[in-house]
Amino acid sequence: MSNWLTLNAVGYSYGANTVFHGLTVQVPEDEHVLAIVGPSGIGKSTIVKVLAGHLSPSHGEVVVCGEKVLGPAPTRPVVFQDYNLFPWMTVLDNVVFGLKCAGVPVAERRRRGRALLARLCMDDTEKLLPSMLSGGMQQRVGIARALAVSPNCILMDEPFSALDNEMKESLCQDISSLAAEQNTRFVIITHDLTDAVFLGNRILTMKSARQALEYRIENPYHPRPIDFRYTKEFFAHIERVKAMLTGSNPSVIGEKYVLNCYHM
Amino acid sequence: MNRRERTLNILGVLLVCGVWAAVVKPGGVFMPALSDVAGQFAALMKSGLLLKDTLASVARVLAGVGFATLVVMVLAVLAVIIKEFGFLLGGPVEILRPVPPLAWVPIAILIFGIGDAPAIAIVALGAFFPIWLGVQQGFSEIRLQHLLAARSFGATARIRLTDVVIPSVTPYAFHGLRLGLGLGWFCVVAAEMMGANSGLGYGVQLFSLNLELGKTYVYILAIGLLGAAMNYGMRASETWLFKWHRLSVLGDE
Repeated sequence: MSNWLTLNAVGYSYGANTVFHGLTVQVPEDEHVLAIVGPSGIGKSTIVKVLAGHLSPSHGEVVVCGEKVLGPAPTRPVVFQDYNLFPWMTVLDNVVFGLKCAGVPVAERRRRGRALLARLCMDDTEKLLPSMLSGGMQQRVGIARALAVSPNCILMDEPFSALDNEMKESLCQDISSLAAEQNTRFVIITHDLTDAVFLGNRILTMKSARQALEYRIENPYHPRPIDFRYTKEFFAHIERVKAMLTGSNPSVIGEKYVLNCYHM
Repeated sequence: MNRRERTLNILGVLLVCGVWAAVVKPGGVFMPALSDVAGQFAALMKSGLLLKDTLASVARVLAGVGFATLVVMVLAVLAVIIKEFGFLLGGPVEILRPVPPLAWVPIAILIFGIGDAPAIAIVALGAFFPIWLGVQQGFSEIRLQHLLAARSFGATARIRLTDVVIPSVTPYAFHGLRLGLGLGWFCVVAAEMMGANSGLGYGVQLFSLNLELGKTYVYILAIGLLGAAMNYGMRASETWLFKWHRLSVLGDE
C-alpha cells in the first residue's frame, strides 16, 4: 500500500539549534489520522510549519498526498491553535475564503460554504463575525474554512488547546466522522494524549530532537464511537503512549519502534 | 456612548446655556447676553454671511485633509515597497511633528499670500501627522499569521492586498483620519485669523476687532458645534464601518 505522508530524513534547524533531525515517517493510505504528541518546546509546531510549507526543512524531503512540499498550498491548509480567522470577515466569508482564492464564482462558493456550515451544525452563524462566537465555534469555522477547499490533507496545530472538554470531545467526534466520510487525511498536533489516542491511527511521539517513536492504533476505524473514550483499551493505549514518552517502557528500544497492537 | 451618557451630555449643554442666560445681562463688556447672541445668529443666517464663511472654512479643511491623505498614501506605498524609505522619513517626521502647525502660518502667508492657499497648506500640515501615524500603526498591526493563512489557501498577491492588508490597515488609518480632521479644523480657524479674507476664523478676528461681541460669539459657537458634529459623525461611521475591530481587537461589548 502506498503512503499519503512521507517524511524522509527530515531535519529543521535554525542557526546552531537543531529542532529535529533525521525524522522519517511513513503513513499508509488507510491510516487517515496521524497524531503527533510530545512535551511542549520539542518542535511539534515546527513540524506542522514544515508540512504546511511555511518553513522549508534544512534536510530531507516531505511528500504529502503525492505532492512534494515546496511552499504553502491549498491542498494542505492549516487549522491554527488560536483559530486565526479573519476577524473582519463574516463566518461565511471566512469559510469560503479558499474557494475565493481558487476562483470559484460567488454563488457557488456561498452554496458550498452554507452546506459546510450546516454539516458542522452552524447554519445560523453565517452572517456573524468570528469574535461573536465562542472559542469552540470559532475553531469549527477554522475547520470548515480548511475543509471548504476539499484538501487532500488538513494540518492541525494544537486545535483544541483553547477549548473546554465538552467542546473538544464534540470536535474530535466531528473530525473522526470527517476522516471517515471524506477522503481527507489529518495531521493533528496535540499535547493531550486522550485526543491523540482518540483520533490517531498512528501516533508519533517526539522524545527529543533525534528520537521519535511511533505507535499504531488499528481499531476502531473512523468514525470512532464516543464510547471508545471509556474503554479499557483506550486507557491502555494512553498508558503505553505515555510510557513511550517518558521512556519508562523497557520494551521500547532504539531509534524507532512500532508497536502493532491489539484488537478491540 | 449609551443613551444615559448622551442625555447627560445634552443636559450639560442646556445647563451652561441656562446659567449664561440667568447670569449675563445685556450690555456686558466681555460677554454678550445669550439673547443677544441668538439675535445675531438669526441676522447672520438671514444675510447668508454665516453660511458663506462656514462653507469657506469647511472647503479648506476638506481640501487640506484630502491633500494630506493623498500624500500619506503615496508615502506609505513607497515605504512599504522600500523599507529604508520609511525609516529615512521617520527622522524628519518626528522632529516636525511637535511643532504646532500655527508656527508655520506666517511662512505659509509669505509663500502663498492671503487667500485659500495658506489655510489649506496649514490644514494639510496639521492633518498629515495623525493620518501618517494611523497608517503606520495600521501596517504594523498586519498579522503575519493572517498572511500565512491566506497564502496557505493560495491567495494571490491581489487577494492578499484586498482581503488581508487593506482590512487590517483601514481601522487605524480611519482613526488617524478622524484625528486629522479634528486637527485640521483647529488649524483652519487659526490660519484664517491671519491669512484669509473669508471663513469662520476670519470672522472671529474681524468681529472682535470691531468689538461686535454678539457676532464673535456666534462664530466661536459655530466653530465648536461644527467641530463636535464632525467628530461625532466620524466616530459613528468608525463604529459602524469597523465593528469587527471594536469587537475583536478592542474587545468592546
